[in-house]
Amino acid sequence: MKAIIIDDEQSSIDILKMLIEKSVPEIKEIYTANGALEALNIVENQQFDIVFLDIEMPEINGFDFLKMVKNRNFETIFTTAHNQYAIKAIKFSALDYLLKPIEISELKEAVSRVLTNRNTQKNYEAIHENLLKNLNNNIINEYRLAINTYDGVRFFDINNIEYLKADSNYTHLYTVDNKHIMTARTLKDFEETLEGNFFFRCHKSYIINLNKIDKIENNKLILNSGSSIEIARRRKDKLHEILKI
Amino acid sequence: MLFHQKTISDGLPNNLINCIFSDYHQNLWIGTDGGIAKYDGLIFEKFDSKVKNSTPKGEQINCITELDSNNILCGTNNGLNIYSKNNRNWRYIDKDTFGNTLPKSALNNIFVLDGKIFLCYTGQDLVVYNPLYKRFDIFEWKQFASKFFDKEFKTINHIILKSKTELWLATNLGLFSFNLETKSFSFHPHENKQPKDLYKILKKGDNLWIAGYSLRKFNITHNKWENYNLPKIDIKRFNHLQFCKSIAFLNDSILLYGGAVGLWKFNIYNKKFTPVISKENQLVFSDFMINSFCQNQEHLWVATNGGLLYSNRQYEAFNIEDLRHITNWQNIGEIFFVPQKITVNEKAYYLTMPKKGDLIKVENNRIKTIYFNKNIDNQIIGFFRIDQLIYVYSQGKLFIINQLVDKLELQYDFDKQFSNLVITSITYDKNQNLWIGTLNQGLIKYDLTKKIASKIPVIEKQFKNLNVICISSYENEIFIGTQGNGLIIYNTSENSVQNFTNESETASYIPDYNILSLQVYKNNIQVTTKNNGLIKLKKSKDKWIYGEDNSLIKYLPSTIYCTNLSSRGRFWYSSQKGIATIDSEEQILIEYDNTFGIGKQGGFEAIVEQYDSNFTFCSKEYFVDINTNLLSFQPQTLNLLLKDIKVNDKSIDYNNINEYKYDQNYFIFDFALNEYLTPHKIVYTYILEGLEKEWQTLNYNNRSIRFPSLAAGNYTFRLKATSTDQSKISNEIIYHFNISPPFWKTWWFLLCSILLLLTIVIAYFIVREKKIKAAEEEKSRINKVIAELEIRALRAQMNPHFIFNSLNSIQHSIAKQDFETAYLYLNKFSKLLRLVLNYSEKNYLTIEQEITILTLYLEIEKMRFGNSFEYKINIDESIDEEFIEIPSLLIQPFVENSIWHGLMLKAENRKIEISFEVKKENVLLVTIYDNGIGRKKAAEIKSKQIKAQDHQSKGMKLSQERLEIIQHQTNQIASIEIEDLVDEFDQALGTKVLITLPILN
Repeated sequence: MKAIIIDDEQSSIDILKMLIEKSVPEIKEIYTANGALEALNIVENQQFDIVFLDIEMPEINGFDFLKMVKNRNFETIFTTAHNQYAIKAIKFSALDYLLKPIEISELKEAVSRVLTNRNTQKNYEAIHENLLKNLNNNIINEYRLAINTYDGVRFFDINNIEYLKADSNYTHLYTVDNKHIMTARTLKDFEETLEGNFFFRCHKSYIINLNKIDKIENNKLILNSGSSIEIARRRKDKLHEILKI
Repeated sequence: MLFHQKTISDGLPNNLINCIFSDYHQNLWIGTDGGIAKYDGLIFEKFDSKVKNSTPKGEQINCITELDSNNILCGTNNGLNIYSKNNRNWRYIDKDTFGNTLPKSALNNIFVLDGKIFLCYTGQDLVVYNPLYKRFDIFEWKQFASKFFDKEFKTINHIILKSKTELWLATNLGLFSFNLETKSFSFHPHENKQPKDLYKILKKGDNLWIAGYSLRKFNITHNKWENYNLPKIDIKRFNHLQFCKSIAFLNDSILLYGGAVGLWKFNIYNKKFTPVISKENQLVFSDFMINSFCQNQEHLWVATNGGLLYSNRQYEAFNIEDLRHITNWQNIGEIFFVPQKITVNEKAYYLTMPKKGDLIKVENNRIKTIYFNKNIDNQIIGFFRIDQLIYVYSQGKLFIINQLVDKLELQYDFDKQFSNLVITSITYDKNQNLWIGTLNQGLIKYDLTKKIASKIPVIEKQFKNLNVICISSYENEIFIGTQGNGLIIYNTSENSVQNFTNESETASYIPDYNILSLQVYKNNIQVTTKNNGLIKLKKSKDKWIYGEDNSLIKYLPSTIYCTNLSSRGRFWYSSQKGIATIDSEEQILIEYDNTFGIGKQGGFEAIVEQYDSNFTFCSKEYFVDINTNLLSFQPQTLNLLLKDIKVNDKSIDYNNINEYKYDQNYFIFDFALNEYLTPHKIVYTYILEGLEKEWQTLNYNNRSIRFPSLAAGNYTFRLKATSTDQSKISNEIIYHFNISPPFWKTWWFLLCSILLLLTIVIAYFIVREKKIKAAEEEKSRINKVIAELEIRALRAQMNPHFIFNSLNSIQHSIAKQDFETAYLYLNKFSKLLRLVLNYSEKNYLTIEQEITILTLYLEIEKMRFGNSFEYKINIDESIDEEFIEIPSLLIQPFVENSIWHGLMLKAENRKIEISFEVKKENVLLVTIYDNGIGRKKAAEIKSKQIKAQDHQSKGMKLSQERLEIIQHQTNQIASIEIEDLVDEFDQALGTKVLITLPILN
């Protein structure tokens, strides 16, 4: 695989390069670019599998770079020290990120995920477009959620998601129009992604859309579709608190 | 005399009656040979011998009297019995509390004086019983009498009061007296030690009247005896000869005298005996053994061996004469008209002809025909009395009876002047005119002085061939009752005619064309109509008005056969129920029915007023002569008596008690009435003011009124008795009483309750306000403290020592060129730092998050100390670490303390173990165990160090404070316990920190 590290700090570039060389043999070729402008020339002219992209860069940041790149047919792994706002958008976009200082294990996992996804048809253009759209939108409740499925990435208006159900490391997603999608993301991951939206982890195995609750029975939630969802005993009071009932 | 009889069939226990007594409560007590009975005018109450103490001892009741209003005394063949009305109990008295036993012989008579009971036992001394002290005293009369009568049987029969200090004793040996002060006896003998066998004494003036072997009089002043024997009677008929044991005054001059010889009246002035018989109901008194008399009110009660007889003073006023008793009456033949009796004197009377309109005279049961009408059957004959003259009319002829020769003298033959007429009635005015009503010829005026008869042109002009049935005059008006033309009034001075009957039936006219009779009295006309009953007209402003009638007439029976108006201004009526009378002032209506012996049906068709103001009611079979002087027309006052008030079934002293508690609310009023004559005519009316607004009526046979469950309040009970004919009116019983409300309904209690409640409410709000304020203050204080603590906790967590030590270790690794370790170290350090920064905003973290931090911390520390200790984190399976939240960064200071002061001071085998477990519902226990040197040793080492501030203990102190706040906020246990673990030799094995936390939902 061919990768490029884009960062404005040389030390960061060096460390990541060193870590890849040392621990990720799947990446055969490593390019580096100090800053977005330098990177644009390289990325426009070559095809990369992975772009390690630092978000916080002077003048042109990582997202600006993505906006400017015409050929976006690559997997982007953002690297950042600390940017909660950006991370939220990234999580919505089915893209990966690494926190600096980068842990080797996390790096390995991220690369292995890319390898796994390479087998499926992935519309990187749409993924990146979605990310940029979400970033432009000030209302996080209007973010579109990108989800990797076996037959490519699909995008969902989160208002249409009724609930999510855990299935070991997989998650089933149910929409209001009775669509059912399975994805290889943990429910916990979704919980973190959707935190701050109108979603609620009501049970170990369930996240529900609070706007789709029809009624609350003793130990159950009945959603508008008629689906009956269990509520964990310990989450009941929290739910009541959120719903102000 | 008219007597009624009550026997076993009426409820008496036995027909052999020995004594009668009328008590305070107006009950009649009747002592028979078969027990005692009580009579209240309605029923005889017998006493059931099956129940204990419910009968006197001894079947044969000899005498009855009362000790006081509540205690009846009764003498039987066994002796003295006392009945308590309150307890309804009979007590037999045979011994006193001093051990004296009474003789077991029969008790003949009882006399009560000043609460002491004087007893006349058969063949005994004078015995006095004091019921108050329950003590007998025996005065030896027999010994005294032995002076005069040696071996004879001695018995006292009757005792009455002689003077304040002396008693009269009637004995079988004669008249004795007893001095109450000296306790000495004296004897009042007749010549020859007679009379003997004295039974009953009556005192009247200076004389004693004594019943016994014969009737005797003893003049006290002159000490003189007189003896009166009954007229010769058939001695064989009576076993006891002239023996009489009872005596009573019927009135001032008549003494009733009775015994084996029957019942007699004795006139004390002419000293004549007359036998009393009752013709009407066939009681012949010579057949009866008269035992005693009792009089109450107007009643006379007679105890006989044939039951209880009673009579009434008013019965005397009615004298019935059966027409069939008149000699040869049967020969007179069929009667068409009701014969009318005209009394001449006490012995003789005229009878208008019962058959054809003849007139006869009856004198000493002999009939003498005075006038015999040969001509026609069904003649109307009548009479009319003016002063001493009796005018008789028959058909068209008017006669006067010449009473000297008993012949009719023709006065005027109207038939000659006006053909084909029949006189129906006559009246006269103050101008010596007779006004004659006729059939066919209307009204004829006859001038008595000029002997001229004439018709009234004004009437003739208006009415042709009037049929006059009755006629009456008053002042200058003649009232003419007709058949077919109703009532016509002719004014003699104005010569005007007014017809009072009108087809229009307007209120001011009589709605009936047929008038049967009419009476005029002052400003009233009473008209008997054929179809509309009695009607009354009143004169108002010189006009006769027929209107709403509020008079007593409406109380009369519906059918009235005939009416009359007495010269004394009293209306008399004959109805299907008997005889009734109303005074002209309409004050009182009195009815007399068959109880008075006036015949079975009543139904009198004529009423005649006799010269002596007495009345004769005539039917086709008999006459009833009424001596109006013997009747009382005054409303009779009945004595209504409140016998008993029971409250919740307990008799109470109602004379003194008027206040009752709220639960004393079931009232029964028992009352008595002295009406024995016609008790069925009595109606009781009562009201309980405070409960009822209208008077209630009660039937005659109820003498008890109940009020269950009365509410609290003021009440007045009023009770009256009246007879249905209004002739008898009782006193009114009034009883005020008050039922107090239960204390929780009294105004003061309610007020207090309201005030108390108000105070509580106000106090509650004040306290609550204060509490809320305090709580808010506390809350804000705590929040402030929490915020402060959180910041401090964070600071404590990220204390410079740790940061710089960590950085130093990294530097050290780099210096050693151990880059991998340095990188790993750095990674973990940065991760921990990130988490701490991220979670710094949160008060609570899930166990999972807390463990992530703890793990990172332990990893870093472990690396720093070159893997020199082992750590383990245990989570109980039942813990939902993703959901259960605990205060953030609470545990780390204890772990830090364990590592630095427990493990690091130990040489080898260093272990730290952190466990999370659910102790019980909603209680989380976090245990931090280390196998370090223990606190004691650590403290020793610590004390040797020079240190400005101890970071670890500060961190723990902060954690402790946070727990205290949590405990305060949640009211659940949040605590830290530190256990020092030691072996059997008291060597330290380590330290265990136990953190108890509430699991918050």
